[in-house]
Amino acid sequence: MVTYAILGPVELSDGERLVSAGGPRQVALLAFLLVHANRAVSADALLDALWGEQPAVVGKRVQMAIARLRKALETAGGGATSPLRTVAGGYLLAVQPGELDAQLFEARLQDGRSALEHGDAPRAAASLREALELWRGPALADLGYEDWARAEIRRLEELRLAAIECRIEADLQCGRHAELVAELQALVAAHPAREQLTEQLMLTLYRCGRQSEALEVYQRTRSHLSYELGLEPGPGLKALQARILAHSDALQRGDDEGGSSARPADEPAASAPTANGEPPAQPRGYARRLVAVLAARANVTDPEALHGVFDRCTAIIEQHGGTVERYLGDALVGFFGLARSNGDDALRAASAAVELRAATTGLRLGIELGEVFIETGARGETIAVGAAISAAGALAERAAADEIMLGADIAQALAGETRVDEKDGRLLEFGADTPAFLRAPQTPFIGRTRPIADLHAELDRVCAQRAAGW
Amino acid sequence: MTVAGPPGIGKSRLAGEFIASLEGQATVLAGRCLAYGEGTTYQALLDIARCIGSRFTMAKLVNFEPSPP
Repeated sequence: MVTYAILGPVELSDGERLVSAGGPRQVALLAFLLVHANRAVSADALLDALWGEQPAVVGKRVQMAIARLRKALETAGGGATSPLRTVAGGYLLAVQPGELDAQLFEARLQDGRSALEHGDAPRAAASLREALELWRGPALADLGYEDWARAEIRRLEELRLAAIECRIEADLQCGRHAELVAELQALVAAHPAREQLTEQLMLTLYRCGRQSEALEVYQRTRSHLSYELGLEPGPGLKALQARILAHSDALQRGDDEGGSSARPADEPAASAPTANGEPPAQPRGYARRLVAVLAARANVTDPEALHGVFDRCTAIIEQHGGTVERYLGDALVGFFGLARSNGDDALRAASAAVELRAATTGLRLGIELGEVFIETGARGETIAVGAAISAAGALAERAAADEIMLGADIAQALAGETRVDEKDGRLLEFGADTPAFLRAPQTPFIGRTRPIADLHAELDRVCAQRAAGW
Repeated sequence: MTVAGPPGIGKSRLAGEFIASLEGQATVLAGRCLAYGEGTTYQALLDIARCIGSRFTMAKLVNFEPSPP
């Protein structure tokens, strides 16, 4: 039986041994006919594709090449009727099912996909493995520079990647994550924009107990997308990152359903757009963000009076762009930069604390800066977790009445604007001084005397003009 | 005057050194645009306003009454 192979260098075989199709032109002719298998191809199209624009000279050559190819096909077919037929207006290569490797590949891929859809991961993995084993190299390897071959090469390579993704999905569902790490790492490096591969690598690493590496992969992909294309990762990738951070149970399902494409039913829906038509700051309900936390405790015993104090505190915090997420007994916790970063959240927290101290006597205040993980519930309520929150609470606990305590991180962020007791973090002085970036650092400044002199000359000129009545 | 240059070449440092060399000769108001974050379009102007605020406290600004001619 004659067989044809195009998933790699183009090959013709009699089922056991390779049969030479002839020189490069003959091989290209065979490939062209295979790409258009079972369809009529006009002599003009053949001419255009294989010989370019020189019809007068080469008209006969097409017929000669066809005749030689017929001989080769007869050798391969063992005397059966030639599959290369002359039809009205051109030629047609009749390919029977099972003779062309690309057709076999597509059939197996289809089998694998439908098995996966029906939840039969082992059968899907086997079919897809068979499909991928048909590949011997880049599709139509010897014709990569032919214009007419490019579309088909792209299509086949795309299908191949799809088959690999599908096979990995099936392997993951079979619980074979340990074997996949190396393969996925190579694939992600080669195809950084294929987010499904990235998702699979993250899931695989997570299941192998390598969660920090899984998150690193996310960060790498994110910066690649943002640097190269100015894009954010797709919703699937973002959701997976959030579920890894949350240690979601759904990630561990190995043997049953629940691969990377399955979404847990309990996942919060995307929050609805806000009333003023602004897009929601948190489309998927999870975020990780650097925020400033302010904790306040009041020495007020009457609960109703305490509530009144907190109401006033909330108003002040909101004036500074913060939000109060909860009252906890006799403590209040406010956040700056929770819904979206303001860029100066540490400063806002400190300003708010100073104003709170002035407005209410007896408050004990603590502020700290740190990363928190934020979950937005279905009704828009937020839950934030992070060490900075309890740190701020502990600072407020330690503070005396009318005192503000700064955590180490916020103290560093506000180094230019505040003076802090080095021993206990008590705020001694606060005021927006020269912004930190303009204070000359302690390291020597070398080799920029010209630009500095230019700036001085310009300043003198401006001053002189002003003096002259400009 | 604009100082322009590729990232990391030392624009901020140059500005800082220049300002440091003016110690006491000029009023310096500074603002900075952040390379990240949302809603920071007027950050630089806000910073500049803050520089003024630190010199004449907000209370003084609020209570400011022009002196009679």
